[in-house]
Amino acid sequence: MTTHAAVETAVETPAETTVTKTYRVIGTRPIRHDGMEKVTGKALFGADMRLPGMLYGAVLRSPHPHARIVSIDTSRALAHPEVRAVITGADFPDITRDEIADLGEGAIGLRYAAQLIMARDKVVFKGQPVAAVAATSRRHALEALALIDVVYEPLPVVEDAVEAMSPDAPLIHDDLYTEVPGGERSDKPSNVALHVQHERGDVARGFAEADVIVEREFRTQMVHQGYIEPQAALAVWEPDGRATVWCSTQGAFTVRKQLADQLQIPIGRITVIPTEIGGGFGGKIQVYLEPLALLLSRKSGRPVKMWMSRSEVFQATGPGAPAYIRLKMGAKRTGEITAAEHYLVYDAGGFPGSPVKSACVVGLSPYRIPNFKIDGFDVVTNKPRVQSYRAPGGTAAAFSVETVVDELAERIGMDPVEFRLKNAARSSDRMTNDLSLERIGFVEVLEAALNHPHYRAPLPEGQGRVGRGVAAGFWANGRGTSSVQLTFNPDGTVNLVEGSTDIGGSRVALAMIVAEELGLKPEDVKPMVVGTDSIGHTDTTGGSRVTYSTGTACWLAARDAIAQLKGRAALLLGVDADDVEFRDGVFYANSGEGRSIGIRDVIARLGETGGAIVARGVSHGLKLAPGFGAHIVDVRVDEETGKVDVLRYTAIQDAGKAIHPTYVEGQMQGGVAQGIGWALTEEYVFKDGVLQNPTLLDYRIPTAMDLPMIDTHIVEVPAADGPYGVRGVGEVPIVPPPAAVANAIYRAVGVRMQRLPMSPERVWRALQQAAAEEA
Amino acid sequence: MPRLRVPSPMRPAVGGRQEVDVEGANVGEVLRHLAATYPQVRDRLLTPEGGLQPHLMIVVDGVEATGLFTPVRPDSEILIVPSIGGGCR
Repeated sequence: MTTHAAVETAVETPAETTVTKTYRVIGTRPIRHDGMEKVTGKALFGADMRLPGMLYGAVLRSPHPHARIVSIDTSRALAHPEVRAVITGADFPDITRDEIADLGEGAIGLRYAAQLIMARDKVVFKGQPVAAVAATSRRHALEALALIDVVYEPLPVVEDAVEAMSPDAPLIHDDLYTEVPGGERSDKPSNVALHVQHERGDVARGFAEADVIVEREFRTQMVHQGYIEPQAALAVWEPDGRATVWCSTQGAFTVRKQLADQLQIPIGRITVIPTEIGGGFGGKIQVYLEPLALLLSRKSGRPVKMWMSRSEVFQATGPGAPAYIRLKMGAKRTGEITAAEHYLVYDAGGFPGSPVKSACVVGLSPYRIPNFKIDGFDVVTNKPRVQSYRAPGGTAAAFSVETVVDELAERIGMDPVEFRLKNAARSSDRMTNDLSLERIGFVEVLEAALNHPHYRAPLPEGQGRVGRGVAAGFWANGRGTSSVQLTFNPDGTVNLVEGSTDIGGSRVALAMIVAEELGLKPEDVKPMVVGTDSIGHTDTTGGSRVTYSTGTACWLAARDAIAQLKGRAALLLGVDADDVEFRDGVFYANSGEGRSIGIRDVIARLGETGGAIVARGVSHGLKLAPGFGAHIVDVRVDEETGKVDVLRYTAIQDAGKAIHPTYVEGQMQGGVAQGIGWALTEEYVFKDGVLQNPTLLDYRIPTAMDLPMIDTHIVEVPAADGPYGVRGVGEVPIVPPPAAVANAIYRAVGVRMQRLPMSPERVWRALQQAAAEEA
Repeated sequence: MPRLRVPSPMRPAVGGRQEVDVEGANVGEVLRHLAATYPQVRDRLLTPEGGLQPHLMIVVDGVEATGLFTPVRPDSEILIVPSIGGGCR
């Protein structure tokens, strides 16, 4: 069941749009422009790209999770008759700058990024690149890897972030110091890269005021984004020093910047062209293959194509961060939360840069908590360096908060949704980092949950114990900068040129915004995602920013187009431009006996009214447009095996305004599916720093067989900024599922699960332990 | 005078204050005046070259400043927010 409810709140900016206004295009469900290419297999993804004379690259990766590189001898590989180039860390420029590369979603220090791309003198996780080869075929490239002789001196491995914080733990980086609150650094090197802190009020007093205090600790696992398409890149270095890269990426501009930084070449000489993308979820922002392919191209004088195998994707790209979290929370019997202490340790893997900062914001910001203290730590271990994964840091933080909130509600005898409603953040409340939430719809989302038929329905019957859980989730949503350009065709159609990689159906949503404003049909607007030479700077597709920020750029570009076309319409109508009014795709002459001309006719006659026009829109400086969701789930627990089946799931979310409801629902369902994977089945399993399950056979992503139909209910509370009140929707739905499922398990069998995934073994052991304690 | 909200880790350097009123017509002027009054915060806010430290985000009246030249009004509220993405040198 899919439902859709608008809240009658006027949108102030842009002034004339309200969420309750009836739109011609916004809120409809047209077929996506790229649908035919996708379903017929004609769309070109990263590994589909080819150039004449291209070579094939392959990467030699460290077999050790932690080792010093004593020597690398590439002479036997270079002697292979089909090998054209070999590179090692010695071929890269020295990166000594102590700068942070902002990737648009996530960040990494430049010198650590350099080692992540290619090891220099040591390796810090299994799978880290040590050398790369370009040969005339993929087979020959793989053969040549076996001819590279690397001598390693293995070092002690530290696999767990909490253990890595110990002063006695093996030190992974001699040059890593802890950045402490306030920006200063520790005196001694450490595996703790960062300590972030937020405080408000008087925590001791807050706990003294509480009637009930719950304190729990949680562990979440390393998980992969599970995008279907492995990383792929094709690069060509021209003899005049220009470089072109085609790759599967969430952000062509960040790839260009990373290449310029890492290879020390002028950024203006690099062109990055994004291919179609088979999923990313935050994992396709950091470059891995692109610099290797480009350097191999420079060395060989030929284009070089590279792609990863699935096991390389698992071992050598950036999964989502594991976490250890402690949370203490207090509440009055009347239902008010009085205080919270949140302690979060996020595992960054081999190099600093876990999403602990966002975790420190996502966890407690949904609630009005007068007194809190948050301590977050970014810690390195000998595991793959993590990257963003959909609401980075948020799912683990919410697992702790939403579980403890649920327990507090139970302890004071209050309905868990009513308890959340009582404490829910309202518009203009401040997040834990002091930023204003601006206008939000958390209360409306919780009210929708409370009144949803699922929440009121009897529990399903049948074998096993069943329970119903709820949890909420939040993401502040990204903003950033986007550029858009409109050009016009003689048949009255419009080309929409933009730079946002289309991961979740953004092409059609953006075309709909342009069509709405210009009075055209969505199919009259042809969206195209172009490379870095063909559009102004556009930030990464990530953080749920595209429909909001690039959508605003589209809205502005459409307004620019109308202003320019008005002058042309005036010429055709024989009146002054000031006398022309534009409504619903038609230019009207206010004077002149009701004469009018349609926008398509004006576009078709641009040649006789002064030639081509180009309309532009650039978005920046938008206000926050945070999103909130609430999930309801019914589970069945088999007490003999510990297996949990999800029987029914409902996701409720504030979309601000659903531009294309099908893709909003798709984002909600996709986030839930991934979140259930976190909750029940997915986990990187390590032994001494070596990943034991680097295939999709052993890394258990939920399939359609594991999931029920995921019902969606869209709430529309317009954002304070941007067109139609739209909000980003991609991140929020992955935040609540693990907590919702854990709360449902508790309602079913009475055990509070505090470690993910809640696998049959873990649930069974928890049941055994509970039974033993009861006995 | 623009009002600057100080993040909790930086409060000891400004006498424990949560908010400080600082003169300035743009973000750069406000931060430089703050640093002149409270020298301990200078290196935390600004690079040796006078730029904004990369791990910080400045928000003026709810909108992220695009640089040190972003104008501020006398009644503006300025937030110093540790950027969510940074902090991983």
